[in-house]
Amino acid sequence: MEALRVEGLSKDFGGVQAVQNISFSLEVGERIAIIGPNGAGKTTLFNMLNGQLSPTAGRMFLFGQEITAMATYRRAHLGQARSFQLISLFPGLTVFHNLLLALHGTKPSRLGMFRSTTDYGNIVAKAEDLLHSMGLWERRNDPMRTISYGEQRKVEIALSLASEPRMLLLDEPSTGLSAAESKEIVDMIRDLGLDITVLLVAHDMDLVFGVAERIMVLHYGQIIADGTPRKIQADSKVREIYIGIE
Amino acid sequence: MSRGPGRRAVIGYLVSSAPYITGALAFVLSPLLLPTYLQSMLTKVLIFSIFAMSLNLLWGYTGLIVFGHAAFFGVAAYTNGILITRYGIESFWLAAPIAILITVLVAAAFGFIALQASGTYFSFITLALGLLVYSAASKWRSMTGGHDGLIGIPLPDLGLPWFTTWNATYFYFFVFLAFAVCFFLLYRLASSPFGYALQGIREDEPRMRSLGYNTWLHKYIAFVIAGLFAGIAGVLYSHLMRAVFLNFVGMLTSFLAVFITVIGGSGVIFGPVVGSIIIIFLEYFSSLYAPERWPLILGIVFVIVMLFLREGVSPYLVRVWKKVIPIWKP
Amino acid sequence: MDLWVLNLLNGISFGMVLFLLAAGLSLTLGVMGILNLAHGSLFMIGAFVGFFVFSGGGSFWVAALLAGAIAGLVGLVLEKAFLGRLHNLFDAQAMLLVGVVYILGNLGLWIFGPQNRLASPPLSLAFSVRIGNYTFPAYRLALILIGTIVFISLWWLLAKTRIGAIIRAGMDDREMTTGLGVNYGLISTAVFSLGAFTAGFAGAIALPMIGVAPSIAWDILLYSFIVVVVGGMGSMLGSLIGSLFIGLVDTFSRALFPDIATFTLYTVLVITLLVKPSGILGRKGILQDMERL
Repeated sequence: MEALRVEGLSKDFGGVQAVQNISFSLEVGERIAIIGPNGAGKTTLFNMLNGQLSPTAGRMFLFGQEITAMATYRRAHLGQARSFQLISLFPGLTVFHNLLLALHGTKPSRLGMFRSTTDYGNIVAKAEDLLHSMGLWERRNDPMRTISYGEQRKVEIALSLASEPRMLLLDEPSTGLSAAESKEIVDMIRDLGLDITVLLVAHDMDLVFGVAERIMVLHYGQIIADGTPRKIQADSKVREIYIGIE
Repeated sequence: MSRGPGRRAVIGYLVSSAPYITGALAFVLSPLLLPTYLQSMLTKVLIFSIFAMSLNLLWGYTGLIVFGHAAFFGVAAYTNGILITRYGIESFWLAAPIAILITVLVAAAFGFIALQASGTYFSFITLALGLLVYSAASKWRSMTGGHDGLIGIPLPDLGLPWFTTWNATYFYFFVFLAFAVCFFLLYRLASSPFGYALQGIREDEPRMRSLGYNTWLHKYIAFVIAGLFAGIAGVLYSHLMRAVFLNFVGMLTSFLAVFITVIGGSGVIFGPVVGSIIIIFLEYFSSLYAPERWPLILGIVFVIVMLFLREGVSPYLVRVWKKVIPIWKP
Repeated sequence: MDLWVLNLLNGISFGMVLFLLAAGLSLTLGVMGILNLAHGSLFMIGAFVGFFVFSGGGSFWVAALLAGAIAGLVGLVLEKAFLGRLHNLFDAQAMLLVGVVYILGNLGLWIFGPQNRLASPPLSLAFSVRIGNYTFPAYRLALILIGTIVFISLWWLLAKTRIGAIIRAGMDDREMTTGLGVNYGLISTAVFSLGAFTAGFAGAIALPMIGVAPSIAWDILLYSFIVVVVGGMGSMLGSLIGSLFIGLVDTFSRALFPDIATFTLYTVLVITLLVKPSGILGRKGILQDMERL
């Protein structure tokens, strides 16, 4: 079954063609990585998939439904979630409340105005599970800004998993992490169920090869290669871009 | 269900409400110790607490910088006064709800217009709308009395057969009751998922949208609720002053709420109450010794707070209370 | 017909005064990201200084320059001593400025009293000029001339000098500009003080037209804000067009329907914000900067 389909997607920033006529489709359960040099258009593509940027041309379909002009929050309700390259958490709130916020996000309880947010038993239970699995139970009442960068990265991903998404967009999930910490992220992603489709943007080749079964290479806003990791490694165009630049 | 967790929950509840209960007791017992004119001042403190708490919902919680919040305060006061003095609607239970309803409608309209923009432009629009209301109030002399104001508003007619004569103390308790209800409701709102969502919007709105929140709707609802509570404060103030004047919708009143919220501390629900106590008493002393210099004093205090005490006074109070009961959380 | 021409002249000359204010406000907003809420107070300070020097027998022009200098000095002190301490805390800076407005306003009231004081145009300009079939007061024409000169100077500064290029770069992307090793703090202080100078100067030369009272601070601030929003931030031409537009709208609506004159202005503001928020000639970069939420 098709999870995500993109047709002729383009983004033009008044003269700069960040993304040019991109088309691809992902099956449910696939693990795909998008790689490419800086400025290739990866984040622009993600921002369009997420709804933060509107495309200049093209269409997008999530689980068969057209989402081209759909607001970001509605895409979340369709099962899409996204993590951010620049850690996008709520620094003034505690770790616990960060998780609660994320967990309420796609539930009707998010508009609840009378009961305390900690009163919703099953949501609190899930938050506690997440805290335990990330080893952050002891820090649960600390303000988010006081926990380490590596831990914040884990929370960043945990927040996007909170809504039990079917389509997960991970934007440079291992940015700023040590090799050991990146390995933890790889394991985290590998542990995800096959009902979740994962699309990630990354520079970290260990992460890419550890997770992806299919790689798309972006260059100047266009997909110049699309295939298994082996095929991509052997592709001459790809080698030219990476080695040419390095 | 074992007894352990149940009892712990009750103790937890008592601990967390202890400061509020203490504060409430202080407010309830103070009339016994204070002369009448100070009771009126405390009444004003409570009314402006409600007003500032409504503003804090937008400033402190949601991060929405609104100017012109006094528009809702004043519209409610004027409507209440007009209904009573010009339309002969004497019953408090009729005039007040109508006044508040009209205020909510105005807030719904203003919120819709203002939230078409965001950031500085949003603030500009709220400023313009506030000034618009001021302009309208000063021009519509037949209704509002213009610069002379609307006078002759009696204390609320509650229609209770066994209660016919007011005095300052009774009115103080009446306002305290209203304040307690408002405080309770706003406290629940702040601890609810909606309340935390507002904080999330303040911290990182794009993330909130990715998490599934319709942030525009949240902001809009917050705006209208803030207008509602500002309206309640306005109605009560029209009764306290027995009149409604143009400055009720003026810039100074809007900024007074801002000053109160910032000086008291916008991070906690009771911050504006603390700020209100400080500012209203400061105003009182100023009126005794240097009435003309009140804006100057207020400005100086505010500048000092902005430079050195940006979090307001409340964090210190929280720290003091935590020394008494270490496990308490606001 | 004469009435139309008269109002046209008055509208344009008022617009020029507004331009002097709006230019400073717009630059400060673009370069520093601060809403200078004290801008009206600086205008008021200039007007008071100008009034007392001029009515004390001094030359009108000396009074105006002195007014600008003193206002500029106050602006400098404000920026260095107060705003500088709240680096990058935009909301705190805005609120601090509100406090300053109250301080300055009340000081003005205390020292000068609440009444509005008008001045008559200086002797050097107390004549009329005949153009075609119409006679115009030279004072009004002088305002237009001054405004035009200031506009050309500022436009040239921004468009043709290196400093201007730095300022424009800063308005588009503050982080990049500081990263390029530019002493942004110095530029910010300079821009702020320049804005304060023009505000004070404007206050003084506008005395025969507007007069001065402590209440002018808020009123003229609102006008300036509306101009900046309608004309677009960071663009001198935009500020000029916006100022002339608002000056004309205000003058004509006061002449034609005085009761709802203020409403006309607010309506223009709200429509602009809803239809084209960046203003007539606004720079996109600033718009994104301002939408922090």
